[in-house]
Amino acid sequence: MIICTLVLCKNVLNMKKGCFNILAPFSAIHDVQVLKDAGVDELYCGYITEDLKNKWPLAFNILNRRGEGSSFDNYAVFKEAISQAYKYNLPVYLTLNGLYTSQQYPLLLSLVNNIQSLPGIKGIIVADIGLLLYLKKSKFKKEIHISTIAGCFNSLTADFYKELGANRVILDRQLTVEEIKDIISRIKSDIDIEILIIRENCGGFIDSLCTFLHCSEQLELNTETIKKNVSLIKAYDTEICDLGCEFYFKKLANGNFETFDSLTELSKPMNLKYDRDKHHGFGCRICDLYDLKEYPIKSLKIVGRGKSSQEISKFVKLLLRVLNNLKQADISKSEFQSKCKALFSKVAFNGKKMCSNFDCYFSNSLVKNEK
Amino acid sequence: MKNSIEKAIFTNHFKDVGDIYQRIYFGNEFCENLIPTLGLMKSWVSFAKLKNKELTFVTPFVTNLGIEKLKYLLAFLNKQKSCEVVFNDWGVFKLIRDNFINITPVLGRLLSRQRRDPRLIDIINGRQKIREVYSPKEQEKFVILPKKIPSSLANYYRTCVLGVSAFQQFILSCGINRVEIDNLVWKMRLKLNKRLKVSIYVPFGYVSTTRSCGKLTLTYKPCQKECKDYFIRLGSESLLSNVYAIGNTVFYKNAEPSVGYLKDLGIDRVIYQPRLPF
Repeated sequence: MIICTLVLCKNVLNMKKGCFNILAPFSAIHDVQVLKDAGVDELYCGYITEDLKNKWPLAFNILNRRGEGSSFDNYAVFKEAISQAYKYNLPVYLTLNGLYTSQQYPLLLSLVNNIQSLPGIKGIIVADIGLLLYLKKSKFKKEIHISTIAGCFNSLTADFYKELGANRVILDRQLTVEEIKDIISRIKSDIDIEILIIRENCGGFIDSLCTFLHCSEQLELNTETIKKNVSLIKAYDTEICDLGCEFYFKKLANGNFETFDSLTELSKPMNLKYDRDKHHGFGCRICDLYDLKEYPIKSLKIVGRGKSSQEISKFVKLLLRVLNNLKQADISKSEFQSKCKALFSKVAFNGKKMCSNFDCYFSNSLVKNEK
Repeated sequence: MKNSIEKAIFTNHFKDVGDIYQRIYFGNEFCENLIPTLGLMKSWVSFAKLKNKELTFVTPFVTNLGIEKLKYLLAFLNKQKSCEVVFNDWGVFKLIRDNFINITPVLGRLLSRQRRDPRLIDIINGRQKIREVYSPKEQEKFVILPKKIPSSLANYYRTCVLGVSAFQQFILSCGINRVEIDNLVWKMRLKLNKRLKVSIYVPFGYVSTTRSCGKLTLTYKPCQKECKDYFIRLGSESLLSNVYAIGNTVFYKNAEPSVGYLKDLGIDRVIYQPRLPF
C-alpha cells in the first residue's frame, strides 16, 4: 500500500522521493495483527515502567501524552507486541514525548536502554530537546522523531532538529495546506516529514504550546456505594474535566467582555456564544492530500490514543481508499475532496451528517495571513 | 549595582515607558500577524536611544511567512550597536544564529515549557476539594474524592526543562545566556548554571495559545484583530477572575512576587506587563 510520488516542484527536487506511509497507534498485542490486516505501514505506542508511573501518574500526561490505559506498562507484554510487529515487518516508534525534568532522567534513560535491544523498535518520538541531546550523547542507534509537542511551524525549525540528530519531524497540526507545502519546499536538510492526518482534534489550542491540565484519568465508577443512589469516585482532578481546555472554554461565553481603556464591561459583541461543536470537531485533513500528493511526506499519522484497533482500522481503511482515489490520474480536486467528505461522513459520523470546517485540523477559513 | 534586579517594561505603547525601567520589551510572542513593521521598529529604536533605555525585541512562533517578515527586522537590528531578541521558536533562533551575529538571543517563555494551568495549584498543594455531581441520566449522585498525588509529581510542576543540565549546556554552547519564565501561581524551584541569567514576566503568565483566534474570541471567523478591541475575563470565581482570553491566547494574572523570592530563584530581570501583552 504505499503511494510513491515523484517530486515535481523545482524547489523540492533535491529532496527525497516521498512516500505516504500510514502510521497508526496500538496499545495491545492483538492490535498488531488487526492493524496489519487493515493495511498500516508503521505503528506507534507508549511504554512506561511501573517505577516511572508510580512517581508521575500517567493521568497527567507527563511521561508521554497518552494518558491512563493507553501505554504498555508490562515489559513482557510490550516485548511480545513489538516482536509481533517485527515479524510482520511493521516498524514501531515509541512515544516518549513528555517534557522531562532532571529527576525523571535516571528512570527514563534506563527505560530507553532496555528497549534499545528490541529490533522491532525502529525509533523514539521525542518532544524534549534535553532527551534528544541525551540520546545523541549515549550513541542511541535508532531513529529519533520530533513530536508535534515540540512545535514545528517552519522549515528552519525542521532543519534545526535535523542538526540535533533527528530523522523525522511531525509538523504542527495548526498549519494550512499552503503553509505545509511551503515548509517542505524550503527545508534544506533531508529530514523526513510526517503530518497528522485524521482523528482526535484538540479543542482549539496548539499541542506544543498548551499548558492546560489535561488529566486523562480512567475513572472507576461505582467503586463504592455510600448509600442508595450515592456512589464514591476517586479522582486526581475533582473537576473531572476530561478535556483540560474545555473547562475554560465553557467559561468563555459567560465571561466579562472588557475593553482596554475603561475596563468597563461591554455588552457581548455580536451576540457571541460558545459552540462546543466548533471546538471539538473530529480532526481531519484528508482533503489536503490532493495538494500534498507531489510532496515528499513520509508518513500520515492516525491520532487516537487508547482507541481500539477495530476503531483505528476503520480509519486505516478510509485512508487506503483516499490514497487509492489519489492514484486516479484524471481526478479533479473538487471530485477528490467530495469523495473524501463522503468517506469521512460514512466512517466518522455513520453517514448521519457531513463534516464542517470545524472538523478540519486547521482550515484556511479560520486563518488570515497578512502579506 | 551587583545583584540588583533589572526592571523592564513590555509594551507596545510609548506612553507606558516610565523612568523606573532600564529596558523596553516590545513585540509579540503569540501572533505573526502582529510582527511590527520596519517603520515601527525604527521608531522604538530611536525612542529607546532618546530615553537611554536598553531594547529587547520579542518575537512569536512563526510559519515561513513570519520568518520572512522577521528577516528584514532582524537585519535592521543587527546593524544596531547591540540588541536582544527574544525567540519563542527554534526556527527563529536558527535564523538569528546563522545570519545575525550582533543580535543577542534570549530563550523566550514559550520555550521554557513550564506547566502553567492555575487549576493545578490545588492538586500541587494537596488541596483538591471533595465534589458532588448529580447524574440525571443515571439518577445517581457521585461523590468525588481526591486521589493523593506523589510528591514527585508536585516537584515536577515546580520546575521545568530548563533545570536539565544537558539542556543548559546546549543553550550555553549556542550562545544563549538568558532564559525567560512565567511567575507560576505556585512556588517554583529553579536550579540553573550560574552562567545562565533568568528573566520573569509579571503579572501575566500565559496558559495556552492557538492559531484559530476566532475560537477564543468566539467569532469563529478568521482574525479581524479582535485582540485590539476586547478581551474576556473568564469568570467571577476567585480563580477565574484572574484568567483572561485575548486574541489567540489565555493568560492568568498573578500577584507580584517578593524580591527575596526572585533572588532565591536567581532572577535578575523582571519584565512588567502593564496590560495584557497584545
